[in-house]
Amino acid sequence: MSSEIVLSDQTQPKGAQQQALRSASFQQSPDSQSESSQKISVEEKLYLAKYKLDERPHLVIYDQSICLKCEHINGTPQPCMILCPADVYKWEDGKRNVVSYDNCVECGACRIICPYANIEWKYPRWGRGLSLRYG
Amino acid sequence: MPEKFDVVIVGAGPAGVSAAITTSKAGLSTLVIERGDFPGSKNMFGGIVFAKPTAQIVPDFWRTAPIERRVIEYQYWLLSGESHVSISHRNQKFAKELNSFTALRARFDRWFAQQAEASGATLITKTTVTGVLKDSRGAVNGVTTDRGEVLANVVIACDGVNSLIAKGAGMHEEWKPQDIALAVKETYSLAKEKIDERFNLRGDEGIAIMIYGGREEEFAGFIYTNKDTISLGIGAIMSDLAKYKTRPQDLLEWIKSHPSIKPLLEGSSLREYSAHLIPEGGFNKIPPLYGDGILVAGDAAMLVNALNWEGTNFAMYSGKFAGQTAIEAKKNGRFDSSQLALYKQYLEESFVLKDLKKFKDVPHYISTHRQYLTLYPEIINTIMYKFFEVDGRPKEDHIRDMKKEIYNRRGRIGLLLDAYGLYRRAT
Repeated sequence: MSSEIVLSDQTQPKGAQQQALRSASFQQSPDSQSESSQKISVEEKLYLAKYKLDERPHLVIYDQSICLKCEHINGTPQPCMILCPADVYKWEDGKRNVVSYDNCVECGACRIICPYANIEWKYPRWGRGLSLRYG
Repeated sequence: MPEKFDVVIVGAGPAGVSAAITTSKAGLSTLVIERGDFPGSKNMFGGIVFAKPTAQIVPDFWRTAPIERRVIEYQYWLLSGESHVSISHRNQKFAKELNSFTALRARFDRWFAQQAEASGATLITKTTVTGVLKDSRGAVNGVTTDRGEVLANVVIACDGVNSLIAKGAGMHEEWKPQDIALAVKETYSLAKEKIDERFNLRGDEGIAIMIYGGREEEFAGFIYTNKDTISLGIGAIMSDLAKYKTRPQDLLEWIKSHPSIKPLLEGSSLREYSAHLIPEGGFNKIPPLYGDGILVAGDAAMLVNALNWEGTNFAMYSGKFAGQTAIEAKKNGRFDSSQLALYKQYLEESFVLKDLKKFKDVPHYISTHRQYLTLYPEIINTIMYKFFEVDGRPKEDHIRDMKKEIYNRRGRIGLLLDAYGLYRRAT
């Protein structure tokens, strides 16, 4: 095996946050009332995963005025808000697309569905972001 | 001066690792660059892995690979309302000679990549390839990453469904929403004994359930038994989700609450929630597979047979063929398109492009003939209900009702056209 390849080591910049693994016991119990008592929010489900924050947002809206235009044409929720499986995009105050990139599961759906290619989409750097235990 | 390798492979998933094992075994200096903590940590699938294709890459994989369960029974379900019709096949042959096995990517990919390292490939993780480097003639000769640059004679882009490397190299435009499915999946822990009992399994036997029907959206559901977890999820064509304003999470909740499915999760605990895209455009939407100094394999090249739920075998074979192409290129000392065209030839001679070509008209046909998704699951469920129902009326009446169900809702001509239309494109 060849020698260690070190391109540049940026694994632990100052202020790196690591979210602790939260093991929740979301039990599926027999319940004649079907969904209601076992409804778990997407946010809660996302807490099950290991996550390391990249302080630089890996998802950025290029032009917020285009999101406003999209809302006029497509109504709200806009396509990115419907498709995103992790609730990253929220329409706030009727005028702003707020991006909670720390929810992101890095699927890529938003980048493809945005009718205006208005999302700058990258992967989080240096292995940050989501880390699955099962996959 | 950046390091130079014979081959730089982007991504340590099934395609990348298969390429790496192939090239490193032949003595080519091979670097695999993975953006996750470890191979598999940013990957997700249903799903099942096929044994024989895996054995092509690692002949004795079954000794050490993290196999969850060996699938001895396959089921197709058609959902409608509060019912389902299923066709299932359980065969002891599958127990005696392994056909497929359930797996979890964070475990399987990690093991698989170790085999590449054992063959001599160098693996670096936590490093994202951000683009390709090109020489003065525009040929790809390396990659840029978030930790520096690396040079290569051949870059093999195995970066998965988002395929940013090939796109950045100018090989294709962004994918279209009608060609891509968005899948969301949950993994539930459940005691092995409970899984055995619930699905009639012994030892390391497993089951694979593939589900259609019950919705306007073009979607599929799946349930796979792992050792002591259950994988359950749905995938739907992205343009349909947008058109019907359906959130993928809601589709998942709907299927989980279906009375045929809900009891299967009883007593289990949710352990993981994730989402991933599946490239389903088929043969007509495959991007250019090679260029000067570059090859594209696996999901990044849209090499997935959605009709048969096959992706990992396509990834492994295309990765291997890309590796073989790089080996030949090195022998000839040439890495331009006309040399690397060999890759496409290998794919065309194998099931990879043969199967995709055979079913090339199916994706468009199904999405423009909604009766397969919406009407037929309903009709079939209703007919089966009327078939099994015993209510004191003569069979004559039941048979007449069953016939009415088809002929009134679709008509004799419609039925014939639908049967022939599918037969012509899918066989």
